[in-house]
Amino acid sequence: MIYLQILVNSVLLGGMYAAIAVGFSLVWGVMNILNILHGTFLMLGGYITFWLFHLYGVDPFLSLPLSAVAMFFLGYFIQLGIINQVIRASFFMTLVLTFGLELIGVKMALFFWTGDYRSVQTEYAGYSFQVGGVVIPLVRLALFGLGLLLTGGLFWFMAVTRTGRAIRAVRIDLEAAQLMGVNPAKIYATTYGISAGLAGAAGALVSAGFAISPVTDVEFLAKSFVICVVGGLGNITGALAGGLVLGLVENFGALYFGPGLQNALGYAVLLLVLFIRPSGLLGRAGYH
Amino acid sequence: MMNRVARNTLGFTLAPIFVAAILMTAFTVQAADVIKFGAALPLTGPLATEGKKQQNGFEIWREIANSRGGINVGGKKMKVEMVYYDYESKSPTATKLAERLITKDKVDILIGPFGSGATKAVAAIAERYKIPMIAPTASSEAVYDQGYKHLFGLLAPNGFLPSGFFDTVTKLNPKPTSMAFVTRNDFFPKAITNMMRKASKKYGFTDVYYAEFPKDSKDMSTWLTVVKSKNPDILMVGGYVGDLILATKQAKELGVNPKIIFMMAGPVYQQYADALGDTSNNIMSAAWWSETFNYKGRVIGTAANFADIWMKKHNQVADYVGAASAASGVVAHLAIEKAGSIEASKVIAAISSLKTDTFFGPVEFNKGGQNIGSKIAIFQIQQRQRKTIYPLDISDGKLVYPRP
Repeated sequence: MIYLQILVNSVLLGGMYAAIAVGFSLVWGVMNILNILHGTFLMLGGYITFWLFHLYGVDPFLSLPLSAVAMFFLGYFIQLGIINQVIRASFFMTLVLTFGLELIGVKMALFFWTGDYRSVQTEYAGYSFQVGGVVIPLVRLALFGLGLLLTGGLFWFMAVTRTGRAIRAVRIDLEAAQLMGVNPAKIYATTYGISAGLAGAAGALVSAGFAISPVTDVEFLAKSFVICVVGGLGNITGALAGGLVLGLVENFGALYFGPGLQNALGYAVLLLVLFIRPSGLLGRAGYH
Repeated sequence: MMNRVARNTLGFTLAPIFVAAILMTAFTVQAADVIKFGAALPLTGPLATEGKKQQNGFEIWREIANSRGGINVGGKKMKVEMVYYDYESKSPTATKLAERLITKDKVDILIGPFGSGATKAVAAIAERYKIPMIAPTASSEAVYDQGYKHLFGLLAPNGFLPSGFFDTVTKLNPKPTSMAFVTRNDFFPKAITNMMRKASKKYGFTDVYYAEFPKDSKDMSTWLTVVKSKNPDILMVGGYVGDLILATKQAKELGVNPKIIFMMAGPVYQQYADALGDTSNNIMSAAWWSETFNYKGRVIGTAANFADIWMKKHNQVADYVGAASAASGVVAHLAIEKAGSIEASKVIAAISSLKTDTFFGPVEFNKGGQNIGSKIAIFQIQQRQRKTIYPLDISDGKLVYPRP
């Protein structure tokens, strides 16, 4: 029974990891930016949800779209106004830039909201139900569902819509895309906005399932990095695969080797994948 | 691939964004008639909340002391000046900044950083330069067994905790018999959890589970699932407030329901009950100080006086971190007046032999420099408020047992 419970815990955790990482994977895959700001968008999305709940009693599931849209626009304008200025510079330059912006974001959050941990505590927050003796917590099931929804939705968007195809076109051949009338500056901004919006949506539910504070952004960023590399960069379903693998490894690792090695085992898997299959479990196929 | 030929010079001008060193030199008084205190605090990073509380605590004391003209040093009033640095919650940085405070800023007295781990590291610096150091928030005995002559700590030793806790729980009916222990792999949580575990054996408890979780753990479900299967009467979790909020949330979700849940050190902070709401009810913990204790002394007055000032300034219930920090100033204040000098050796002698009452409780240092006059109180959160259960002479509530 305990194994079954831990299996369920792992899968739910994996889905949530996918929700956290899918936007990070998009920006990395399309623009080759290691977006240090990703955790900050997640944190800000969480704070929007928290304040709406705390001040006006808005349910996190209702404020989720709001967090996502707010972060989309924030991301869109950050890319358009700032990151696009150095998009042709080296990989390291965009890394440094997003790192600098992350410092500004975190310091401002600390200034306005202090370092206190906050959490959205709805009536149903601690609620769970049982299926055949296995406990399934509601909020974590919702996070899992959100992970599937975001991953599936993004997959559909990239495959079917005109903007999605334009994003892929820019990724595959920038000059050809420009000749076809695609404006790369706008497409980059849209891509970055979508990524930030996905992070904001994830953050909304993270604020209900976890405690958020201005400094927790880094921890989610580190997870996103591992998930993307393990699952396969630039591959949307890779975030889901990476998330599930990480969830399983962390939880069963914690069971057999003790919870102390939980995070270390995640990084061990990262190294293992880099040695055996550097392109990640699902490879780089997604955008071609 | 992306076209990387074009280089944008704007990128180079963005470098200054990177520079985020925060050096805060507050309230510089120009005259020579000042006593200089220095503190490296975790003002950013994971411990930012605690660091800010420490700073707020010192400032309350400093303002009171200066509003009365300063500290009376052998008949001459000297104002207090504080120099703060941010060590970003990284202990190695704290030691570097402590060295800077002593050598560059020439502080007379060093105030400790947050927690036992960082305090132990910084104490070595104070010892080397022979500067008196007062540690507000280090309670682990292992900080004070190095033979240091310049270190003094306000918090009662961790060792005071087990006797209070087990005296309380062994009198309960039905008597709890088994315990599970889980701790964050970090200096203080590990020290206190292992101390409780060792003591539990003396009191006849069966130890059904022990585990450690890593510092930035984002999922507690596995060990909680194992704990549930072992069904202990008491679960003790050691960690900091972020860990303990998550652990409490997930314990509720997974239906982990021992008769007692005891956590150190998170429930003592207002943010714990704020973040968890009613889920925080009936969690037990311990505190070195509470505004409800009937403590009284010179400089700040009663525990309730301090809590009032804190509430007015910060709109928040005061806890031991801020109180102990203000008390560090009070101890220095009283010792300097007693010594009639700010010369390090005389101040050290005065602190060593100090025996006094303060708003933080009685103060008396043992040979290692740890305050053995103070107490550790056991409390339980009821209706989102801390209710003191032990010691009985300062208690204001009855334990809810077993947890519903």
